[in-house]
Amino acid sequence: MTDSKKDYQKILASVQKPVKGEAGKTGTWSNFKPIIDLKKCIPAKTGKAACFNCWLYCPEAVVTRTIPPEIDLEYCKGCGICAEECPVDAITMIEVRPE
Amino acid sequence: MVNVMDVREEEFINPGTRMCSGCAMALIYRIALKALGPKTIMTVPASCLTVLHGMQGFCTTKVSVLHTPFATTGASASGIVASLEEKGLADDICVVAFAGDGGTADIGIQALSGAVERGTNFIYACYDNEAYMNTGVQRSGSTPLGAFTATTPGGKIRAKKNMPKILEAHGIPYVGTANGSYPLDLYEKFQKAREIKGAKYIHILSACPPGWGYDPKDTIKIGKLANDTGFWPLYEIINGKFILSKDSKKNLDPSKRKPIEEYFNTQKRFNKISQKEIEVYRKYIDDLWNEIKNRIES
Repeated sequence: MTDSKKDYQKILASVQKPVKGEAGKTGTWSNFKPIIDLKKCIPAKTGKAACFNCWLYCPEAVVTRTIPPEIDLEYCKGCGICAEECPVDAITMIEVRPE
Repeated sequence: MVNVMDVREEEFINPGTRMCSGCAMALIYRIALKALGPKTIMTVPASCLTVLHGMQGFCTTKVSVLHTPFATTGASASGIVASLEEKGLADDICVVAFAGDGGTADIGIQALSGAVERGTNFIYACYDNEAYMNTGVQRSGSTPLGAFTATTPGGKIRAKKNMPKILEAHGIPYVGTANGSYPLDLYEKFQKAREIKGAKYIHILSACPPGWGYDPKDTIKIGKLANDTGFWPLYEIINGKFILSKDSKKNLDPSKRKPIEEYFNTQKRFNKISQKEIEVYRKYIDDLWNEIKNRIES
């Protein structure tokens, strides 16, 4: 006969915890990093909650919808979609190489 | 029309997933989860999306996810809905099956058809990256004509399977097509589908940088070209009524559609496409939009 309570606990042992950086620090994947020029960025310049294309199009959810928007470089994979979709070209991809 | 400030700010995916840089599916999943909210149960077959959720012990998403075998996505959704109904939670919690094009058009079509025919109250979303990308770009039923894959080295000789039409023929209350490059449209469609009772189907075109052969930064641009050339129309069919989405309306005028070559030239997988195949595409797009025009007018 099986102990149903024990079996249930076994199943519970496979419950997964939501974590940040499941694949490690994915910021190391790319040599390119996005840098926002706050003089050009629409929400930073006007102080109004508008545009936020970088936040909307980011596949990795590393951009915040704040004024000004902030990018978590620790996890940014450097795809460059934000730089491409920025309507005022405020974001440039800067090459970072170890010395 | 949804504004960028109407989109839920809370994120349901933690950064640092295993998805490739520039993956449109990661964007689609992120936006879809925002539209669906925390009271959602996902059921996911083997696909790139399984990889996104991570390895044993940890999970990247903040909603419950059931990993299910390839052929059972629809059946597992029916099972979850049945158990929720038994517990009286069915009205509160939304069940969503999220599968790739291989899991939908090829391996999972039987279970999907069964679940939809039973009238299961769930959303089935298919993110269509047009091949088995997770296992190394093999052809699927959803790969378009002339596209290179590992198993069609000279370009596929068969046309793409029209899944939205197959699902429409089941007579379900909601069928929609979406595109990762139009996240606001996508958000609105998932919100709409969540409110409707019965089986809902959303088919989403998802650009794939390594599989399609382009630079990750062009993901959004290529998805937009698929719409601008008329290759991937955005529409909804609600209770049999055909509604063309706002972003696709300009394509009704043939002169406003971009030539299909513009879409093919951006991707390495179409390097070997022949002039004859391009003619087939031109005719396909003209016929498709004539059909759409007739459906809107009738």
